[in-house]
Amino acid sequence: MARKKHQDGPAGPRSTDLETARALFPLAVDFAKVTGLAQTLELPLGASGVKAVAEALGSEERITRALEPLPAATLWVLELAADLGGGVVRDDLVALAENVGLAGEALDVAIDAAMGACLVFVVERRRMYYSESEDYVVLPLHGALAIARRVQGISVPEPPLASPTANTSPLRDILAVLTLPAHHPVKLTLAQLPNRTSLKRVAGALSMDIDTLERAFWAGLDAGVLGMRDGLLAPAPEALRRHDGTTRGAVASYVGSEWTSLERIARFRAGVLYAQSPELAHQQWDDTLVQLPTTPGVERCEHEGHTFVRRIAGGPATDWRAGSGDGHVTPSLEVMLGPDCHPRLALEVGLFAELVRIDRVLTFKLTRDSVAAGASLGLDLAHMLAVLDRVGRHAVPDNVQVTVRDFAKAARFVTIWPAQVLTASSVEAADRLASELGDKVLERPTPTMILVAAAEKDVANRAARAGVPSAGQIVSTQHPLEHGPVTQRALPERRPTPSLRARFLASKDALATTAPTRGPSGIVAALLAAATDEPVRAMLTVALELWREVEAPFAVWMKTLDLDDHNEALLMAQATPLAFAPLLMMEPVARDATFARSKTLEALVRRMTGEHRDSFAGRRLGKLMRHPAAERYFFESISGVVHALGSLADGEAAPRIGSPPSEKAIDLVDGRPRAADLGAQSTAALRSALDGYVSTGTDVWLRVRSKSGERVLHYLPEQLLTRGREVTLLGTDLDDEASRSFPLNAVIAARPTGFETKH
Amino acid sequence: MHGRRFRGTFAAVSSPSESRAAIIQGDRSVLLEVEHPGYEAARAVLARFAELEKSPEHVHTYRVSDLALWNAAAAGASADEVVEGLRAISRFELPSIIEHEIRDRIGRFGVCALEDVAGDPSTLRLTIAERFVRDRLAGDKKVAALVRPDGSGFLLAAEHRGLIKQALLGIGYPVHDRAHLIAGSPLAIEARIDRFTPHPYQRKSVQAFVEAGSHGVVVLPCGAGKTVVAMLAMAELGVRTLVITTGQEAARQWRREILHKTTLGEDDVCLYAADRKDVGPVTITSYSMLARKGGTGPTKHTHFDRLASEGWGLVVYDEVHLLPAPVFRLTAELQARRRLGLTATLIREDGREGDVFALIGPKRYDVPWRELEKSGHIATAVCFELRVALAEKERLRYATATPREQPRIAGENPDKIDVLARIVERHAGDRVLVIGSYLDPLADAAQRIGAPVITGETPQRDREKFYAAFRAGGIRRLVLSRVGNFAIDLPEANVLVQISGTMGSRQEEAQRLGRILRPKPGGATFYTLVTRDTVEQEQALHRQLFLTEQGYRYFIEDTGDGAEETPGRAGGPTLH
Repeated sequence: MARKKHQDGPAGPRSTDLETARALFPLAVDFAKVTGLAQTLELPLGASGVKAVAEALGSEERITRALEPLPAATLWVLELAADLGGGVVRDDLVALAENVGLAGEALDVAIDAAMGACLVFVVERRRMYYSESEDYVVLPLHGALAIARRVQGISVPEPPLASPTANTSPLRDILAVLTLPAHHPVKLTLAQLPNRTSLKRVAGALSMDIDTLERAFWAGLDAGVLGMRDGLLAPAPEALRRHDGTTRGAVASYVGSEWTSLERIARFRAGVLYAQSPELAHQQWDDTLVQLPTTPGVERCEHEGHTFVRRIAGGPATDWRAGSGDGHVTPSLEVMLGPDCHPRLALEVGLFAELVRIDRVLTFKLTRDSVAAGASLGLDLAHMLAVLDRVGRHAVPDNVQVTVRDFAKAARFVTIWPAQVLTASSVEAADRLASELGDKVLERPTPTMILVAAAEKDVANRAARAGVPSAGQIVSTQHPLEHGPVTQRALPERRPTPSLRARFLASKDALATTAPTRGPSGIVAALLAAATDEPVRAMLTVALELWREVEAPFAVWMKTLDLDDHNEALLMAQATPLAFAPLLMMEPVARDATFARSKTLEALVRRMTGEHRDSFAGRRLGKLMRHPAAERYFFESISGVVHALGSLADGEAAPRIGSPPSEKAIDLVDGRPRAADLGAQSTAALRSALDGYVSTGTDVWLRVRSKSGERVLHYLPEQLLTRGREVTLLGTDLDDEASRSFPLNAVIAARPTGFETKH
Repeated sequence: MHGRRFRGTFAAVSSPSESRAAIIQGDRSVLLEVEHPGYEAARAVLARFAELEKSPEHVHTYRVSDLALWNAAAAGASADEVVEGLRAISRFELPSIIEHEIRDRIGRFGVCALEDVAGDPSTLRLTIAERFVRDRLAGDKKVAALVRPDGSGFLLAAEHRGLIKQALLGIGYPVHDRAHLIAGSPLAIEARIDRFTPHPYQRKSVQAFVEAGSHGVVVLPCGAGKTVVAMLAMAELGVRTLVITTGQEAARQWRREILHKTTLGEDDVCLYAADRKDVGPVTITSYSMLARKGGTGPTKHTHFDRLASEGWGLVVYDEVHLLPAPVFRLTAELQARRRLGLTATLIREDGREGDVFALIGPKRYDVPWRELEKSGHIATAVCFELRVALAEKERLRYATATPREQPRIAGENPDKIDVLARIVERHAGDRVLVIGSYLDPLADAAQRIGAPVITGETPQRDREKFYAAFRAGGIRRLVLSRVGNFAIDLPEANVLVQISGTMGSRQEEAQRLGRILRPKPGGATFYTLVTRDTVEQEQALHRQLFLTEQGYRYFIEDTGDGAEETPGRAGGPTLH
């Protein structure tokens, strides 16, 4: 839809305007406001059709004339639109305009001027999944190239003539800082963020600003280069190495040997992506402005208010292993890395030497503890000595080599390997296995036993290849801790084969009619069986897995509650099992602690939804539940399975969605069913059932809870009035004339009379 | 491996400032590359306003400390000169904070000055140019009791001169002491240049000291001849002199040197010690004597009061970095005398460098040891740490010993004696000193290598006899207990074997090493025997750090489990 097309001056709408607008915006709806276009495009009277409009829009002569009187701000808008692939979201323009000192109103004037000259058009763009729309400032298709040729580079600043001095690389410092948790204990809060007191200690030791350090660690956690080990922050060496490589990877493509303004590179990088993905383009833009000037091998300077970069001639070696020579290992066990050192080297050194000063020269100290920390991160002595050897152009002093060797020898730590234990039927079978497994064999404690570092499936395959088929289960020696801390632990992947998946989908209805287990996991299983939308299924699959794990401790915990709370918790778990998602996502230790601390259901809910909430944002289930589509589909579909829930709560087989609940017969005692015969129902199921009974005029048995205990009452449907969370019983019990109203959660179950006779 | 790279250490290619050797950091430390072509020029610049903190092989660390800046200011340097000096040698732009701090610190020098009050030699005037400092001083109850306001400053009794200087330095304002110094009784003394030729740096240091008003510190490495500097200063000033040393042994050595190298006679140079308390034109005593309490004198320190009443024109503080805290207080009483501090390092283990500045004076001259080593004025020393396994029979005892007992068990490791014997055998033609902290192994060592042993219980006469024999070459090996740590002048020694350590004391280690640093052909070798995998190895690490920071080459070698293997095998450097 055209946003606005008004023109100053006397020209009114002409017959060609409509044709012109249609040519410009074939999908546009509101043509009423489109006036004066034909005049602006200098279309002759009577001219019409796409061809005429295209010719007019692309006329170089017209464009040259139109550009001539335009103000600088308008030219900047046109240049930016051209640089970003032909169009730019107006809000982005506003943000970028601030950088060049252009206020919002001035920007409007600039855009209007360009629109008035038919050099840009503003269209409304609606993006998928979001209801908001955004204005998109676009160059006309016909003419865009001609406009771009004339405006691109118009605002590019002149590069400097002099060569400034190179600065140090913040990436070097950042990587070095991220190694600090290897040497300083940094505790994590319950929300798995660095503890301020720990940070204060580290920041004090380095004379660093605590907020800067905290931001660095947050960023490290977000990027996955920092994790948790034994409750403390710890660097993840491999992730850090990847991080370094990724950051530096893009440089070579964009930075030449001549000074180039950062903005120009940013526009180029963002422009490639902008039309397809403004988000990615923004990221490219930001990356360029923030990371490029600090990337090794890139020199920067400030000139007339602009930042320029260029590649350092013969800059640092791209391969850190070649060494930079920009440092020293001193005999007094210090490692100094100069401003020109390769950031990767700072990282490698920092993993086993403690960073003690961040300045032009990074200073690290080799200590017994630092080397032990490095060893515990998986670095061996040879690696450490090799890294030291790359630091400078001098050999590592003799005493340093010996001392580091001493330190490494004295390091105390345990490495927990995921391994499979294979017990072969004979020595000969073990030999064949060992031969096939090659370097995967860790150790052979006995002639028939082999410790293997390989996945179970891989081992089984290799065993089969070796002609030694696996018999029985291969025992894993994987220590529970090997699963890693919460921040590093991935939820189990579910990647069924397509055929299996197809079979599963085909039989899901049948699955739903098989009797599930009682309890929350049964409910979730039923939901899963009934659900058809993929986001919901993905979420429920994970939820089911987690609930199966949690169900037992949950039951134990419920036993510690008083009766009311117990029933309430049970009802809540059965009615809304996914409400316990935060609890499900906790690591076992934290979950057990939460159970231990929560003496009531309310306390449990508060703990799992309040203080811990943020820590689950990154977990898989959390992400799934937060996905807007999943959420919507979930709530749409969940209403369809509510009857199934009610039945499941009774311990009955889950019905297919849409079919009436089946009920089984029971014996009566004193003319009415026992309370135990009316299995507890979830609140939602109860409400639904009561509504159903009222609407169908069915007599009901109600199992209610009061101070005097539980009992079963007999009511006519017209005596039931449900109002909000209240169930009001009008009149009296048909048999004992009791007249009460109960809150809904005091009504445990409802059943139609007569169900008891279907024995 | 070493020919493969690169462009230069701390390289900053394509930068016009590449030719500059120094990197100046935000904490006012300056890293100076020794092999850089600009090193000499940068060192000359830094010598004026920075302290050399560490001098390992390739990179030296200087620090532009407050005291160093005030030393520079006292020598007449301005903030502009310091900043420009740093800019001239800095590879990169100066950190912005540096210039600010330098201007601030140097600006503080001269804010407070002590001057004479005309006609009243017992009173001094303290002028303070900044009101903030005046208020601060007036608000200090302890100091306020010693001064009385007078215009833009204060008046104070002359005897409180040192205390006021300490107090003001404590709040970051050094005092420019322009008050008079007591001339002291004259003394006819000349250096016997017919017997020795002073080195140029010794003359320069005396000249710098005298030109700066005859109060301050001269920093020279061990073995560089600090005693000669003191004698030249005495000859230059021609006044009665009190020399305060670290102990009796050192005092005797001072006396011997003075008698040998000056025109003074036996009666002119007296020892003021526990056994003989003679006072003469040149009197030599020890810090411990001065610190001894007693008597009814003004300071309630018998010997100090006795000596302070003499008309000394110069007081020499030997090894000023070891000046004990009680003596600082007493030294404050001696502010009206010329004061010469001698030391190898201004760094004190107790961090009281400021007191040295306030009470003795600023640094007037220093020469890094590496320069003297280059010029051959001190010996080139190489250090070896030899690891010796703990004797089999001692291992259980060590494992079950308390942490307090463990150092002794490790130190007395009997297997060290075998290693010592092999070292001595290897150095058959050298003069070998063996030093240790525990007496039993020393006796075993002496017996094994056939050398006399000197301990604290050895009579002085016997000690002198052994020393003389060693100097003369009659004895080529000598075993010493801790008495050998300080001021034993055995310049002929070129090998020192430390069979038990110094519990990690850096000063003691330096002093022991200093015993063999007198210049000699072939250099000097320092061995320290360390019991492997014991607390001794940990202590050795501290000493290793200190020695390497000082710039000594340090090698660690394992002598193997048995005594068969020779030190220096396994690809290590060849032992001397």
